[in-house]
Amino acid sequence: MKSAFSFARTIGTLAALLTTAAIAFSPMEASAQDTSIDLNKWSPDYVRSIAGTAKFDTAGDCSKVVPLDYKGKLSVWWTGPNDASPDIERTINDQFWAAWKAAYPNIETDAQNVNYNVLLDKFRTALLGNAAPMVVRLQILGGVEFAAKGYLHQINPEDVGYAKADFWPGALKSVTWEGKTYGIPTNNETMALIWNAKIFKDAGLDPENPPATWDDLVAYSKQIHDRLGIPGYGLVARQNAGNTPFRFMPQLWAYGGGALDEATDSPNYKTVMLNTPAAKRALQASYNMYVRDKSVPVSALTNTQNENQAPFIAGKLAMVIAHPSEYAKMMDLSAKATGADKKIAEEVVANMRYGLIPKGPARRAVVFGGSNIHIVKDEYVDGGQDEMAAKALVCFWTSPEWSTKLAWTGSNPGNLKGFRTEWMKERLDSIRFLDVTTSMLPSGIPFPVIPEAPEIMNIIVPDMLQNALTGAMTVDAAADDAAGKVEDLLGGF
Amino acid sequence: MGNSSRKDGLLAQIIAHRVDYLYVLPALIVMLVVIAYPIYYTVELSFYKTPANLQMKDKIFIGLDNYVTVLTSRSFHKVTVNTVIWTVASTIVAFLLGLGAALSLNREFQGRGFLRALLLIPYVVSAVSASLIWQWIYHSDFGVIGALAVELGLSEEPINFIDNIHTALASLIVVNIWREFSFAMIMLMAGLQTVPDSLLRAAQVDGANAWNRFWHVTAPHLKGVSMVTVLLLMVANFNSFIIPWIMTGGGPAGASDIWITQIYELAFGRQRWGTASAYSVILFVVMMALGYFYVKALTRGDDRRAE
Repeated sequence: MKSAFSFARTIGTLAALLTTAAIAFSPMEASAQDTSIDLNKWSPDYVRSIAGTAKFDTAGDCSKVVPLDYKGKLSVWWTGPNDASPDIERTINDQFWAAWKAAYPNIETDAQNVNYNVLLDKFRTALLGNAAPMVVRLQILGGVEFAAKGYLHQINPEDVGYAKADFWPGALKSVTWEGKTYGIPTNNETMALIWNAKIFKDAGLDPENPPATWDDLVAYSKQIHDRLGIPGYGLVARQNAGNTPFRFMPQLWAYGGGALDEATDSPNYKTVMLNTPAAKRALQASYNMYVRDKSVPVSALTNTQNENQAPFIAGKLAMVIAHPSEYAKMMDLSAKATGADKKIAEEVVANMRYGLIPKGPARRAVVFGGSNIHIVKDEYVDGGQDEMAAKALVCFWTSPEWSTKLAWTGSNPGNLKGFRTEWMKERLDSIRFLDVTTSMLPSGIPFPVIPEAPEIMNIIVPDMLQNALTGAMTVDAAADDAAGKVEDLLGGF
Repeated sequence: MGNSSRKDGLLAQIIAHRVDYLYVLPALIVMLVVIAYPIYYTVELSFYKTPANLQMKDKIFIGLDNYVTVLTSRSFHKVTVNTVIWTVASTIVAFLLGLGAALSLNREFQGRGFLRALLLIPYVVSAVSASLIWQWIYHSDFGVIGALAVELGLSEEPINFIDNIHTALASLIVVNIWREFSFAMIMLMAGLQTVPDSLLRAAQVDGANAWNRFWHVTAPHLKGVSMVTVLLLMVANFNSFIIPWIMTGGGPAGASDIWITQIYELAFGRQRWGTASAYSVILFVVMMALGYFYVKALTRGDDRRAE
C-alpha cells in the first residue's frame, strides 16, 4: 500500500511538473507574461520608456503556429502604399514581402494592393461571386459588415500565437460581432492636428501652441484668413469619401454629439445622436468656418486630405488633421520641389508642428483608426481556403516586428508588444511628432461597430455636412435629416 | 393547317441556314453570358431587399417595393432633372460643335490634317485622366481658370465651379462636351463625304448662299448620320459615370448626381442592391427605347433601298 501511494504521488508530481512546464513554455502563456504594458500609464514618457526593451523573433514565433516549411497557397488583398504615400512606406512594404517569402518560401502568395476607396466595393463584389481572397486587411470600419453576414472565419489572437491582452481593447471591439472575434488588429492609429508655425506667427498667433479647443480652432482659422488671405483649417467634406468622417467625427464627439452613442462608455448603437443640440453645435462650427468666415478652402466640398497636401506644402494652408505619416510625405514633397518652390517647401517642413486634436465641451476625441486582418471562410474564397497559410500570414503581419514596421510613418503597431521593440525605439528617435500622435491613442473612439457603419460614416455624415455647408439645408435641418436617415437605416428601411 | 405550314416553313429555313447559325452561335453564347444573364439577374434582384447584415442568398422578397421606393424618393425628381439636363445639353452642344468642326474641316486648307488631329485629342484622352486634370483646372482655390480670372481683373477671387451647387452640373457638362464633340465631328465628317459635290456646285451656280447650300443640300444628306450620332451620344451620356463620379462624387449636396451615380452609390455605398437594381431596370427601359429608335434610324436607309 505504501509503495502504491508512493507511486501515485510520484506520478502526480511528474504530471504537475509536466503541466507546469507546458504552460510555462506555451506561446500563449509566454505572450501573456511578456505583455507587461500598462495602458493606464500611457503617456509619451511611458511609450519612450518601454521602447527597445524586448526582442522578438517573428519567424520563430510564427513557426509555432504554422511550420516554416509549410507548403500552400495564399491570396491576400489590402491597401498598401499609393502615390500619396511617403517613399519609406513603399520600401518597408517591399521588405515585408521579402521577409515573408524568406520565412515561408513554400507558400505561394498572390498579394493585391487595392486602393482604399475601392477595396470594400471590390471585396463585396468578389464575395458575391465566391471569388474573394483568403485573407483581407480592411480598415477598422470595414470588417463588421462581413462578420455580420457570416463571410469571415472566427479567429482569436490565441489562434495565431498571441493573447487578447496584446491588443487595444478598442481595437478588439472593432473585430467583435455578437461576442466573437473575427479578425486581428494589424495597426491602430490616431490622427493629430498639424500646423505651420510660421503662418501662425505671421497671423499673430502663438506659433508653438495649437488651438486648445474646437472653438479656438474656428477663431484661429478666421484670424489666419483675415490677416493673410489664405485658408486656416483644411476642412474635408467630400461625399463618398472615408477621409470626411475621420476629420468630422472628432469634432462631433468633442462637442458631445455622435452618430450613435459610440462615444459613451457602454454604447448600445441604437441611440441616434446626430441631431442632439451638441451635434448641431459641432455642425454649426463647420458652417461658421465654411460659410460665415470663409476661412477654409472653398474646394473642401470636393477635397480629400490628398488635395490638402499641395496647398500645405506651398505654405497656403495653415492647419490640417492628418496621420503621423504626413510629416514624411511633406519631406518627400519638399525633396521633389524645385526652384523657388523648394525654398518654400523646406520652410514649411521646418515649421511643421504636431499637437493634440482640440478638445470640446465634452471631451478630446479622435477616431480610433487602423486596420484589421481577416480570414475569409472557405466557401467564399476563389479556389478554396488554405487556413494554415492564412494563419501564417496573420501571425506574421500582426507580429510585434511587422505590426510596428508596417505602421512606420502612418500608424502604430496593433500588437502592443510592438511598442517594446527596437523598431519602436528607432521610430520614436527618427520620426518627429510620433510621441504626439501616439499619446492620442487613449482618446480614440471607434466608429459604431455595426454593419451599417460604412453607410452612416461615408454617406450620411458627409451628406449632412454638404447639405449644411452649401446652404441646401439649414444646420438644424441637415442634422435632423441625417438623424432621420440613420433611424430609417437602423429600422430596416 | 396554316400555322403548321408556317412553322414547317420556319423550321425549314432554320435548317437550310443552319451553318449561318453555327457561325453566330459563339457570339450568341457570349452575349447570353455577359449581357442576358446580368440583365435577368438585375431584374430578379430588383424585387428583393438586401439588408447590410444579410448575405445575398438570404435576401427578402418585397415585390415592387423597390420601384415604389425609387420613384417616390425625395431625390428621384432632382436626380432625374439633373440627368435630363446632363444628357440633353451634352448631346445637343457636342453635336453642334462637332458639326461645326466637321464643316470647317471639310474644306481643304493649310494645316487641316494637324488641326483634325488636335481636335481628336479630347476623344482619345482617357476619361479618368481628363476628369482629374479638369478637376484641377476648375479648382476653387488654386485652379488655372480662377487664377487667370483674378489676374485679368475679371474676378476678385477664384471662381467656384464645382464646389457650388448652382454651377457644378454645368461645369461637368462642359468637360463632357469637350470630350465628346470630336466623336460627333468624326461621324459627321464621314457623313459629309456622301454629299455630292456636283449638287453643291450646281446650287452655288444657281445663286444659293452658304446657308442655303447647307440647309437645302448638305443637311438633308446628313439626316441619317445625324440621327445616329445624336442617339449614340444620348445613350453614352445617360450612362456616363466617370466624369461626375471622379470630379464631384455627385456633389456638392447631390447637385451633380445623375441616375448612374445614384445607382452606384445605392449599390456600392449603401449596399441596397435591390433598390439599385430597380433603378437600373428603369434606366435600362429608357436605354432600350433609345436603342429602338437608334436601330430604326440605322436601318431606315436599308428599308428605303429595299423598296
